[in-house]
Amino acid sequence: MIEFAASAPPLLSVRDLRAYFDTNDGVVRAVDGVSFDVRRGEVFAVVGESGSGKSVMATTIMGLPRTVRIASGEVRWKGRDLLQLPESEHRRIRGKEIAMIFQDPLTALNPVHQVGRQIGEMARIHEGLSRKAAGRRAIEMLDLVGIPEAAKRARMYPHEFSGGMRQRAMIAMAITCRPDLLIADEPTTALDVTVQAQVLEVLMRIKDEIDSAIMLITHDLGVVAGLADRVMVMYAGRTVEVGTAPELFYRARHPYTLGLLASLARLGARRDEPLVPIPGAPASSIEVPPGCAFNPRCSFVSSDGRCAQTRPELREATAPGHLAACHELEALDGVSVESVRRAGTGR
Amino acid sequence: MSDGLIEVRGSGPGAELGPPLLVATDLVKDFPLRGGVFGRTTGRISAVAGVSLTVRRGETLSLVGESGCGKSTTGRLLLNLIRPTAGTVRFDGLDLATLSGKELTHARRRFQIVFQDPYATLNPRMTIGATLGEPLRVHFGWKAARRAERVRQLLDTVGLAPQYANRFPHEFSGGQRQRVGIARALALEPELIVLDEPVSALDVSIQAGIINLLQRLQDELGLAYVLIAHDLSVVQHLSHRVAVMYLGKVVETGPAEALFSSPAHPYTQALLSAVPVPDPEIQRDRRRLVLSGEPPSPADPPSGCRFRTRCWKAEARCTELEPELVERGIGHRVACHFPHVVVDPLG
Repeated sequence: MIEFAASAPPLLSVRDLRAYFDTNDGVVRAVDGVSFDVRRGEVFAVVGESGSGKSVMATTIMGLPRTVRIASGEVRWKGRDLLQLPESEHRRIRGKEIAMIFQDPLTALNPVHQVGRQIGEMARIHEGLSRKAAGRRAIEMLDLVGIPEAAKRARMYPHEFSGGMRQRAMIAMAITCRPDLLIADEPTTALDVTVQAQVLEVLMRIKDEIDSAIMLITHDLGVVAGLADRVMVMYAGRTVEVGTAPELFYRARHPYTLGLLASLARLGARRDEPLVPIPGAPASSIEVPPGCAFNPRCSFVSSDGRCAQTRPELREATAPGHLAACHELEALDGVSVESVRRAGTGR
Repeated sequence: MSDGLIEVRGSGPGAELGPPLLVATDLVKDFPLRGGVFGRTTGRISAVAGVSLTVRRGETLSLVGESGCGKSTTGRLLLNLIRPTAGTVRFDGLDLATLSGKELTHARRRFQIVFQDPYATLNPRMTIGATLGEPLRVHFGWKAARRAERVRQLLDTVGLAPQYANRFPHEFSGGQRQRVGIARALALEPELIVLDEPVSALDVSIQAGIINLLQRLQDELGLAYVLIAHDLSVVQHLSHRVAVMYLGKVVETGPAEALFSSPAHPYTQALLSAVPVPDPEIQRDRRRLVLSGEPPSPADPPSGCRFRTRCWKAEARCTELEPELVERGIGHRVACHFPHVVVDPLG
């Protein structure tokens, strides 16, 4: 088993989670052996491109997808394996101890119920509050997420809210029972940048106020850089690298992480400097390449053929807790985002 | 506003670029607002409310702004895909509104568009070769052999292997499809291409390749681009000049370098400050201008300056008087009563 550097016991501990979908085209290995810890009060970001399995992983932790087949793994929440819990027990934890914020609030909010009622429902179900008390709690929560005239807004319907306000309403709903962990799946992807900045600010303020941990799932490395304490990078359903934000951004070791950072257009960079794309296309989770899933796109593939044959395990990269799944870790010592960029642009 | 058409040509970026190719003057586009049981017109939305732009040969002019600012509508107006309510578009001296159907078809060869999601605009039953050959048949009346030769050449130009001509859209990855979309736009050797969010549907690692391709094509073919995009890092990378739009109006325009390094309009400043930068140290130390509220409805724009309801500088004058675009530097124009340059928006 991998040693994760830990002081206090983690809040959530996922080990070798495999979540598959059986389809007519074959088995989709959406999550294919993911391990990580989330600690109390931290912002843990999960980064990956479309099809990397980050969303399926989140919903699996929540026990949401009905069609998914859990092939192996553990999801330990405060010591108990959520995957072994009966649905009734899981439901008690879901919403109360672990809550989720989705990308698109219009599909997550019920269009025929008033916003306040939907928020209050959480408290009624999980805490047995009366209708009246739940209504008061809903207004309090809307106020907390910065919605003006909360009492009036609570009586409105989702379609009467703007995009940014809907996302705030969803945050209000998620935090009603003061969960220990908030899973936010692309919470601002559908929003404009100025509204994104507002919503992220609310999210961080709330996190401190209710002292919860946040698992932030996103493809936006800029958002990650600003908020995350630790970051996990996923590729083809697997963890390829995990570490603190500075470790990931300044001392990345996995070729995929390095490639991702080098490929970004950056504000303030020179216009005539070409960008460095990662060659090829993201791996399909139906036909995952043997060995390391990234090896067909990797420019650091070892000459002995290991990368195409053996799947690399997570190993310590630059410090305890900074792990990367790459056979060529030692050879990558000294490689930086800048050197990848230089090599890619031929400068 | 028409005085804005006379471009000050001097030193600075973009000065070495060619003569005006596309000149739009005071463009207005109103859409009727329908309501009630009978769908009567109950109001009007000015999606574009008086926009003047000039695009020179070989340059990239970017239109940026948040959803609803009118940038996509402006792009469609420039190509005469929709008719303006008022104002004119001249392409190389031709007033597009006065052209007959045949003349317009003829002129259309010279300006093309690339959409955000090429999958939605490719016929799923046609091979890529047939799709790319179609305009050559329609416009030039070429025979199959000649078309096939040109298709092969087009695929090569956008970095796709010749055998891809026989494949169907579903066999392509997102990045490859966008290359097909670009190849199709290039088929008739246009002089100007409108790029409507050309990379925002693509994964990060794929975006860089498309951005590099667009830049190379511009250099090699002398193309002019009108880039419509919300990702300002991408905009900065590709643009010579930028126009920032808010609620149907241009609030600031100028050479990309000036606009990104010394934005003068409060909205541009807020927009730039909200762009997340993928660097933890920079991102956490930045001074942020977080705007309150969201853009008002274009059906009922604020009096005076349209941005005043979210502006931290707004005074009585802003309510009463709409600011004109005023020259602040070479080609750098700002529509604000209290413009002030922030030296480093990243700092």
